[in-house]
Amino acid sequence: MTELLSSLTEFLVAVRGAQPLLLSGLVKTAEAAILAILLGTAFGLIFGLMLVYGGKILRLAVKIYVDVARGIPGLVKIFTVYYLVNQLVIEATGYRMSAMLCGIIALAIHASAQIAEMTRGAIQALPRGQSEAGKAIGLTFGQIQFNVIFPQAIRQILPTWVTSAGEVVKGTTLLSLISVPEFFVAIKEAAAREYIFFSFYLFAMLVYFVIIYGIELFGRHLEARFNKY
Amino acid sequence: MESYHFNWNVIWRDWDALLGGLALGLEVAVYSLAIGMIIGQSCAFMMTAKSRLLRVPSRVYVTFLRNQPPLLLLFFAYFVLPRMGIRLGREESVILTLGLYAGAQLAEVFRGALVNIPRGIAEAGKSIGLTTFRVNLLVILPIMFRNALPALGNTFISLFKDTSLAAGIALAELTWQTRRISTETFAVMESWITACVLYVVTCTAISYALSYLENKLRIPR
Repeated sequence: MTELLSSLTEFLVAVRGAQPLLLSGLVKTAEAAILAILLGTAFGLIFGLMLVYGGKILRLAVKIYVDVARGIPGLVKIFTVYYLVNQLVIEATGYRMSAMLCGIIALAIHASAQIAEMTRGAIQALPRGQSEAGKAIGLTFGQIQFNVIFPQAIRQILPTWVTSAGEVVKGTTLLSLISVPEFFVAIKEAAAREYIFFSFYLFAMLVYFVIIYGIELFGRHLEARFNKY
Repeated sequence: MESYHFNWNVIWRDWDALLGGLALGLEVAVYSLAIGMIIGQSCAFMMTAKSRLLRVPSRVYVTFLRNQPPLLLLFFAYFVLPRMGIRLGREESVILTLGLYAGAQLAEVFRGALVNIPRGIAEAGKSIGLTTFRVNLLVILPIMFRNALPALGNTFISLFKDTSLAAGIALAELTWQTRRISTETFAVMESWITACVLYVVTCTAISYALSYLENKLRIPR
């Protein structure tokens, strides 16, 4: 018992010492996750709308994008953007994208494919009668979309969207492999410096758990609120 | 700036290594799925049990593991466990990690499939004189398995994709091989295009095979 207590105090002292490192890692993780979620959501919604309303060729192109993006593992996407896309960008502009930017782009591509599918599913799941009723009372196409279809589709999407936000947070750990100094890198550095491994990894698990489970609970809360009616 | 020259020879030279890496990834995914199914099945039964003593620990396990980044778990298994006297090889670490992770995901899948089976079916089994164990084994499990099959297939595909994380601990699967080729030969385009194509083709093939299987095994109506 005393041994456990002393190793706990030793660990807490170590965490205090590594505090600036851990905090800056956490900020990087949050930055990457939030930017990837925002970008992924924006493009995902656009692609989802294209899948529903686009012409034949546009639909096919977006469908291929979505299927390819979903078929490639997240880590391979990150490496591909980091090595391949970066090479193309360098040749075209002479500018080298930072590892962080590459990671955000890759995570955003991943999220956009998921969100595009979700959006398509949610809109197509609505009964045809909804838009027909809108037409019958004389609404324009735009009015039908914004006042009839979207408000209902968004309720469908929100809970799953929140889950994919959690997946993005999980995905940010992959950025450690292209040496973005995010939270997992900070944990590894702190663990090696203080030579305390088990406790630091357990600490990291708790932190990630709180973030990701928190997002999940938030999603459930939204779901409960929207299903009240 | 000198423009890029494609040299596909570096890919053909290492083609066997790439395919070997792909096969290794599939092998790891199959073993992890097996472990995950055993854990998931046990947890699903525990989560639907009457006793709190069974429900609470399985709930804690599933909730905790489902909300972890798998890479963190993998590094824990490969770099931290040896310091506590548990030494695992690269492949074993990946299989164990992904198996435990998939177990948590599958527990939810199986639980959902179990809950969806009407009570009357188990009661019918009991009324013809089967023991509880035999009702579970002969009546409930086959129905549950069929209910869970689509989600099980998706889990296998995402497990296969997650085997790419093994590149992080230098297991020579497809992602690691590709990264090796791309940094050794500077053929970044060729190597990553090849990897992406191989992954997409494999995932598509698995998903077609699974939908064929689903059709074959669908409960006749």
